[in-house]
Parts: sequence; C-alpha cells; structure tokens
Amino acid sequence: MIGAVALGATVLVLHSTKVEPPLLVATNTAAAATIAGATSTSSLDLSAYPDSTAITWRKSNDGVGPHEDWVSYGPTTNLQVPAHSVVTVTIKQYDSGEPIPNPFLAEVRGTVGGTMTVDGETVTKIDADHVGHTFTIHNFPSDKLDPLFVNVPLPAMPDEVEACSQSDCPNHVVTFQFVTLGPGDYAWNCEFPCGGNYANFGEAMSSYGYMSGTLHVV
Amino acid sequence: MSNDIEDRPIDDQRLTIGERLNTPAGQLVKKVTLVIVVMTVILVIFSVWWVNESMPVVASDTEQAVQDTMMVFAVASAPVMALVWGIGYYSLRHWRSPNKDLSLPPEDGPPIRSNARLTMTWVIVSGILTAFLLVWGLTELTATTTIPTTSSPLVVKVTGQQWLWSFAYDNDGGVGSPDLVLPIDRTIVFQVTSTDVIHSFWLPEMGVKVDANPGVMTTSITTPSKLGTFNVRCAELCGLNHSFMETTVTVVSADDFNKWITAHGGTPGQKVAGGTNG
Amino acid sequence: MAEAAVLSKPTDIPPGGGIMRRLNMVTGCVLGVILAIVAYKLGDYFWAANDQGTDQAVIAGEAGWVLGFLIGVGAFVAPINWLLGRDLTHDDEMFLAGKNQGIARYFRFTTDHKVVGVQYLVLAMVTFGVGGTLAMMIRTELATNDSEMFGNQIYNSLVGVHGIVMIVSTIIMVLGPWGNFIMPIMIGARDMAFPRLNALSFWTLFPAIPIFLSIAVLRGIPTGWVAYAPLSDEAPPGMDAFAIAIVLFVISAGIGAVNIIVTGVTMRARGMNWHRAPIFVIGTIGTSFLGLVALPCFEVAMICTLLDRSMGAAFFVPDLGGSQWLYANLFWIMGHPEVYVIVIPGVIAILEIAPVFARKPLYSFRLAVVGLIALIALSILVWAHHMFVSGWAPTLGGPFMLTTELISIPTGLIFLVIIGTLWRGNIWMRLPMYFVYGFLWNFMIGGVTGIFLSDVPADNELHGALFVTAHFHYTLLGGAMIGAMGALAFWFPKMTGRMLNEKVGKVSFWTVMIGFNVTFMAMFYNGLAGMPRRVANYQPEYIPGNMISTAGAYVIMAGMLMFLYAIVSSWRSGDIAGPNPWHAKSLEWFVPSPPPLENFEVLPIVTGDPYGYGESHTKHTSHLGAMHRPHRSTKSKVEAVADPTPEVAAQDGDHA
Repeated sequence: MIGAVALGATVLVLHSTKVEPPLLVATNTAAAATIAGATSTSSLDLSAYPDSTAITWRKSNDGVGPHEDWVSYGPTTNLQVPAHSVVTVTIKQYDSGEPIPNPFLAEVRGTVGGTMTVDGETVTKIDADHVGHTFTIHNFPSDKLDPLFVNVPLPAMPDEVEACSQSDCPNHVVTFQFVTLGPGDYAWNCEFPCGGNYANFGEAMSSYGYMSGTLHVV
Repeated sequence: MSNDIEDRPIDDQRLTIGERLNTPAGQLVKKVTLVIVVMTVILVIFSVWWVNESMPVVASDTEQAVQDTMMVFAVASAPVMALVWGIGYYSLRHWRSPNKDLSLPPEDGPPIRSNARLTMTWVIVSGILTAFLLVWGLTELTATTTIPTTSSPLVVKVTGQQWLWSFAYDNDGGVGSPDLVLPIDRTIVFQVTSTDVIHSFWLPEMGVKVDANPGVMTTSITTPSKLGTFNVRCAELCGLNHSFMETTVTVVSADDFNKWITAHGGTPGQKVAGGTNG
Repeated sequence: MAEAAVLSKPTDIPPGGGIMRRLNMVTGCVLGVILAIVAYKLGDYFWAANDQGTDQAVIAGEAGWVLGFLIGVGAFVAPINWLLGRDLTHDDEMFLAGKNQGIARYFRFTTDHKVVGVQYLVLAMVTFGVGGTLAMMIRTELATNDSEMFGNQIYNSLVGVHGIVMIVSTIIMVLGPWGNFIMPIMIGARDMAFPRLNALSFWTLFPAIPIFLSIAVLRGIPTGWVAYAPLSDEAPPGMDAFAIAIVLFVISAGIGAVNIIVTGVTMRARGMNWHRAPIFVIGTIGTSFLGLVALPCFEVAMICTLLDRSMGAAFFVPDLGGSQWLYANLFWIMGHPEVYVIVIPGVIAILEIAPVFARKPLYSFRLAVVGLIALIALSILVWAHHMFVSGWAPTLGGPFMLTTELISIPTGLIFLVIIGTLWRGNIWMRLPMYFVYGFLWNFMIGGVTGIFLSDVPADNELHGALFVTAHFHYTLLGGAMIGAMGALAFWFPKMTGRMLNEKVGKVSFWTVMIGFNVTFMAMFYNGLAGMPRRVANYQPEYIPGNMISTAGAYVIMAGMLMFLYAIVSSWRSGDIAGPNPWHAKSLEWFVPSPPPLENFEVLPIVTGDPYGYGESHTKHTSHLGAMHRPHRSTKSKVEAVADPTPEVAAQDGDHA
C-alpha cells in the first residue's frame, strides 16, 4: 500500500514539473474559406525572439533557473487551431541567423500555394545562408491523425542590426497559410540549430516550450 | 532360436535399442521424450502464429528475408526450449518429493555426477544447430547486401536531423522531399547521413535500418515489392522529439514515380551534383 | 561468542579506531554537501563566463560532494596513517570490523565482509526500488499513445536514468551482498583479502546514488543509459552528473573485483582445490575478472565525454576530427561483458541452489566451469553485435554474428548442468527452488530471442525496437534478478538468522513471474510489429500491447512490494533459523546463523566438494574434515591450521 502511494506521489510531483506553456487559441476570422475541404479561417500571431525576456509566462521551473538568454518563440508554444480551417500565421522574426546545415529546410513546404510572404514579398524559399529560425510542423502519419507537414523558414535579421526582443525592435514579418484537416495533436518545432552545445541543438532547442511546442487541432 | 540375452554369444551381449528402451532408464527417456515432443509441437505452432501475427506486411525482398529468418529460427529453437522446459515440467510432475512435511529435505537422489556421452551429444548437436543458424544468417546477409549487377539502382540520399527526415534524389534532377516515394521492383540504394546526432533510418515494412551518423555516409539496399504507403521511423534516441521523427514511404509504379519526379521539378535519370540537400 | 542476531545492542565496544570512532555516513554526507556547495560556488564564480562554464561548475560541485563524502566517512584515514607510518593495532582492527557496535556498524566504514554484504544488499534494494519507480513512471506514460503525462523531455530522462540505475543495481545485486557475505565463508576464510578495500568499494558507490538522483534537478538527460555521443555532448548538465556517477561506480566495482579475485585465489581453506570449490566461488572470481577487464572502458568513455563537454575536447565530435563510433565501440566493449557481469552471478546462484533442492550433485561440475569460462571469454568478443546497424564496419557483421551465435553453446551447457541436476532428483519445493524454475523459463526465452537478434538481417528489423528491450529484460530481469531473488531466499537464513516468510515469498514469486511475462511478452509483440524503443508517442496500433504491458508492470510492482514486505518483516520477526536449514553441504552452512565476527572458530580443512548428495563413503564425501565436530581447542587459528593432525582430517568418519 505504502509503495503504491509513494509511486502515486512521485508521479504527481513529476507531472507537475512538466513544462506546460499557456494555450494560444487561434482567432477565427470572418473571411470565407476558399480552399476545398476547409470550413473556416483563423489566424495566429507568433514571434521568434533572440532571448526570452519578452516571454512573460516562464518561471524558474526547469531546475537551474530561467534562461533569459535562450532564444524563444512567443508568446507561447502551445497552439490551438480549428480543424478543417485555413490558418493564417504571422510570425515576427527578431533574431539574427546563420547558414542552415540542411538547405532543404530553407524551402517553403506544406503551405497554401507552397509560398509565404516575407515583408510583403511572396517567396518559395529564402537564402540558406541567412536563416533565423524555422516553423516546422511534424507529420505523424497514422490512421488516427491526418497528414500535416509544414516547413516555413524565417529569414534572419542582418548581422549589422542589433537583435533585441521588445515589440519595437526591428523584425521580419513572415505570413503564410496552411490548411488543417481532422482533429489531433501535432508536434512542431524550429528546425534551425539556434540553441547551444553540440550542433546548437541543445539548450533552448532541446527544452520544451522554448523552440518546440504542440499544435492542437480541435 | 530365441534372442534372449543369455542365448547370445558370450562376446556379443549388447542390448538392442528396443531392449534398451525397455529398461527402467529407457522407459524414463521414452516418457520424457514424449513430453518434449508434445511441447515442441505446441511451441512451433505458437511461435509461427506469433511471428506471423505481429510482424508488419512484407513490402520488400529484405523484409521477406527477415521474416523467413524469424520463422526458421523460431522453429529451430522450439525443440531446444521444449527440451529444457519438458524436463523441468517432468521434474515437477514426477520427481517432486512426496513428503507432505517440507521442513526436512527428502532423501538424497541418485549421485549422478556426469554422463560423458550425453554431454558429448549435447555439445555436438548444439554445435550443429549453431552452424546451421550461422550458415543461414551468412547466406541471407550476403543476399541482402549485394546490389544485383543487372539492375540500375535508384540512389536516394537520406538526411536525418533533429527531428525530421529529408530525402534527395540527386540522380533524378535533385528533387528534395520530406517523404519518400519509391518505384516498385527496382533496387534502391539509400545513402544515409545526419547533420547533428546519431539517428537510425528505419523502414519497418521493408526491413531496412541503418544509422544516420554525422560526418559519415552509410548505405542500405532494398527492392520494394509491394505498392502502398508504409512507415519511415527513427530508431535511435536522438533527443526531445525523437518519437515524432516519422514520415511515410510510398511505393508506386515506375511510371508514377517518373511522373512524381517530373512534377517536383526533376528529370528522371539526370544526375545533379549536390542537389537541394547539401 | 556469536551474536544472536544482526540487530544487537552495542556492548563493550573495543577501544581503538582513533578518528574512525567519530566518522560515519552522516559526517560523510554533511561534509560532502558542504564541499559540494563550496566547489560549485567557486566554479560558478570563476568559470561562469566560459562557454562550457555551467558544465565545469557542475562537475566541480559533484566532485566536491564525492571528495567531501569520502573524507567524512573516513576513507582516507587508512592511507594517511600508512603514510605517517602508523600501523593498525589489534584494537583498531576490531573496531573497524564493527565488533559489538550493533546496528551502528552498518553506517560506518566497517571492514567486516558480512557488514559490507548487508550494506550492499540494502543499497541494491534501494537502487532497484528507485529504478523500479522510474519504470512504473515510464509504463504509466506509455499507457497512452501521446506524451501528455510527463512530456518528451522528462520521459527521455526517465528512460535514461531508469536504465543506468537498474544497470548499477543488477551489477551489484548478487556480487555485492553474497559475493561479499557468503563467498569468504564458503571458502573457509575469516574475511576477505583486503577488508579496508572492501569497505572502500561500498562507500565509493554510495555517493554515486545521490549523484544519479541529482540528474533530476540538472535538467535531466536526453539520451538512454548508453549515452551515445554526440547527443551526450548536446545534453544539459545532468549528463555531467551521469558521467561522474559512472566513474565512481566503475572505481568501486574495480576495487570490489580485485578483492574478490585475490580472496578467491589465495584464501581458500586447506584442501579446497579448484575441483572442490563451490561453483559460486569460481563464478564470482570469473565475473570479477570480466568486470575488471570491461568496466573501465565505460569509465574512459565517460571521462572523454566529460572532457568533450567541459573542456572543448573533440573525442566524439565528428566536425572537429573525433568520431561517434569511437564512443560506440568503447561503450559496447564494456556493454556486452557488462551484461554477463549481471547475468553470471544470477546463474551461479541458481547453480548453487539447484543441487541442494534436488538433493543431487551438481551435474558435471567440470562442464559448469568450462561453460562459465567459455561464456566469459566469448563475451569479450561479441560487442559489435550492438552495432550491426551503425554502419561502422559492415564487413565485420559476419564475424560478430559468428561469435555471438557461438555464445549459445556455453549457455546451452549451463542449461544442461541445471536440467542434469534436476534429472531424477528428489525435488524439495522450498522457496529458493521456485526461483530455479523461474530462471529456466525466463532465461530460456531471453536466450532464444537473443539468437534472433544475432542474425544481422533480422537485427536490421529488430534493432532499436521494443523487441530488444523485451529480450534484455528477459535475460537481465527474468534471469539475473530471479537468480538474485533466489540467492536472497537461499542465504537469508544465514545472513539474518531468520527464515524468510515462505508463504508471502511464494505468492510474490508467482505475482512477479506472471506480471513479468505479461509485460514483456506483449512488448515482444509490439517490437515485432515495429514500435521503436524510447518513445512516448507512438502509433495507435500499438496501444493494446502497451496497455497490457502497463497492466503487467503494475502486477510486477505489487509482487516486488510483497517480496520487500517479506524481507523486512522476516528480518525483524521471522522464525529463528538454525545453522543449516537447507541441509546443504557447503562451508557457510556449518557456522552459526548469522555467523560470528570471525566466521570460524577453527579454520576448516576440506576433503571433498559440496555436492556429495546421495554419496557415502566415496571420495566426494567428508567435505569438512575439521568441521564435523566443533573443535573446542584453545589453540589460536594459526596453530590449528599449521598442525593438521590426522584425527582432525578424518573426523567425519567418527561419531562423536
């Protein structure tokens, strides 16, 4: 009996330490859905920051203190969008960048028309030598989860510009659309090595809630 | 002329096999062997059913080799398991001490220290069994790792990174894709690498698995034999989203494959240096 | 005279011991914590600005903990005394051996091998409990096919820490308690060859456990317990804690291994040649040798990982000229022998139990020895079968397939020895015998599934999937741990002076067996069906198998808790046991339960092996020439041994 209670207690304690960023729900827009199969439209606004000072929800809950100098998506990485919807995503990219090791990911995939707009200009890929981050939704093919793969590279701020995280700092505005199908949860993360340690995929890139999150299609 | 032992010539009084089996020791061996044979049958049926039920659909020649191997090994190991478990079972059934009072040990058993002939037989039989498994394995290994000289293989460059796969068809105009499309009945050569940590490129229905290592290229070969959509998974823990590193492999006819290549901006058969995957 | 029970009151504690009288586990912990904090703060202050400053500070902090603990528990007192030319007096030795100190001696740097054995037993149980709790969390997460309960980040850490804690636990599980407690008595010795090293090996391992637990607050580890580079290079500071704990563990294991080998080789009683030594003794020596050869590779790999992580070295970083395959090879050269270090002690415990409860000699002792030696030798030659799919050396696939399949032959010989011992025996179904049959079932399945994995094309399908996980749980948990539980049931009366509660023991045996087989059979199915290992999110088709596995895991937990209850309650208030409740024939059963401080009043002289069941007046009887009748002599032990009068050797034929 005591063992079962001890186990239950440990599970609860550990579960509570799990990082759970607040949920950002996409706002429904009134525009008519023009893609076959979609029944609504909605929009999401995100930002990619060079440090997490602008992130307000983050407390010191991962053991060694908050990491303000880690890059982070904001305001949160826990996203919710409606099913069968044309989702318009606007990302403000504040961070500087570098060449991407896998140029495949500098191309836009999975969006409506295979394009995105960067500061007003429609493109299908960006310069692989100046990538800031990406927004990539992982396909997890199964009979219970409809396919969804989106990869949107986000261009870097030029090196001369001092990258900062306040809303009045210089940024690139990237807009794209993708269509959700049935309901389910998808993992998404940045696929550009913007973290630390080996291959720059550690630290921020390997900690849930900074550069990785969940997309709930409901 | 009777064949009683006493009537045989004095220098040839060995028992025949049948007579041996009628001695108490022989009776025991007969009973135990019966138990073992019954168990072998049960185990063979069970393991064949189990392997068939659980393993994925066969979509390539390499997977067929894998499933054949699993079947053969399961059948080959059944008698061994039956032998050990049969004797264990028999010991519990027939050799358990009949004393109800377990606080004292029963009488000592017969002081059998060793039986050289039994040991020798066991060593030889297990040696033969091992040799069989080895020969089978080596044959399959050679068969699944040699590119047939008559085919013109399709080369696909597979790049694993944390946490997705990307594919490049450098020999077909440099087409890049997040999921794999393959033509049926053609030898595929996967050239696999990684941009960061060790991943493992795994096609469960096609029996293909090879690690994706940073800075090195590793190779795996298969020939798809079934149309349809199957899985691509990562089989080496590679960090946070390792469990999401999955995508699909679709096997289509050769014509459909060429159409797919063209639709993605490539040209079937045109070699491109580098391509979209660096 | 003999102490009636392990838990006795301290009376007449001998003088001597000096500063060791004041040092114990608590002073060790206190000093360790102080030094850890000081070292971490210093490291942080000087190195925070460095690229790898966090790792450097964490390593300093953990090193401070270890150093402080060892100083505080008194590990350095002996070397310093030696440097200062002060020898141990007899009073010092008696104090260090824990004479008359009651329960306090278990919390000190005590050299008595029986005390160290009990300390190891408790540590093994604690680490097994920690690993088991982690396993329950893993299985609870896997009951659903998403990763909602803990998230992927925590889940990866759970998997990695569960693995390493269980590996440490199972390595020490038989060699620690019974290699230390029973083996010296079994060979007729008063203690081990290096008593202070014995205490050191335990107290070097002890601080590693809090280090493993500290991984939780250092952001965990993203790798499995194999800690593959270069993912280990990318990891948070928890990886540094992992590496340091491993270094400690390997040092501890090495010290213990040397002690066991020297004890077994040089301190056997008069007349105990290698043909008369119990198989347990030969097995522990062989296993220690294997561990000594193999485990340091893990230590080296971890030190190189630490250097990569904290000093910018590039042993395993391909871009800078290193190679991840260097790590993989170093690791698996340790990794394969290491699983035999886990399995063989469980096997030899079973080999020791089977003759006693079949009341027959061990079938072909020589075959058992040959099998063990072949197993040990071959296990050093098979490591690359863990790397068949790594692409490291495709041409070596064939040779390693050969060596791996050859291992099945000595394994088969061991099975032959066991079933040969059972053949036509009079089976006495007491609790330890249950574990022999459990071993036969589980280890057979584990062994056969290993054959599937040894075939290279099949391994291409099965590697990195749950089939491998189920295979090694069958061999390590179902084989080695069942052997360890059998050893516990067998030697519990000798260690504690009380009988283990058999009814609860038998119920827990069945519970664990059923739960275990349900859990891992379902896992074989899922593995064959293509579910990868170390994932929390999986395809919906694997949900039924996972639910069954999780249900089975809860049953295992219930069974283990029952067994724990049996151990604890029997230790405190079980039936008093006599010196030889199993009517066995090896030397440890001829001393009181629990044995007095110096084990034997008079060192025995051995004239036969301990498997002489069913034999009388043949060359194999009279295992104990001098022990058949207690020789109440006033001679010191040295004189008795140096004066082997004929009547001493021939005593068993007399009826006193």
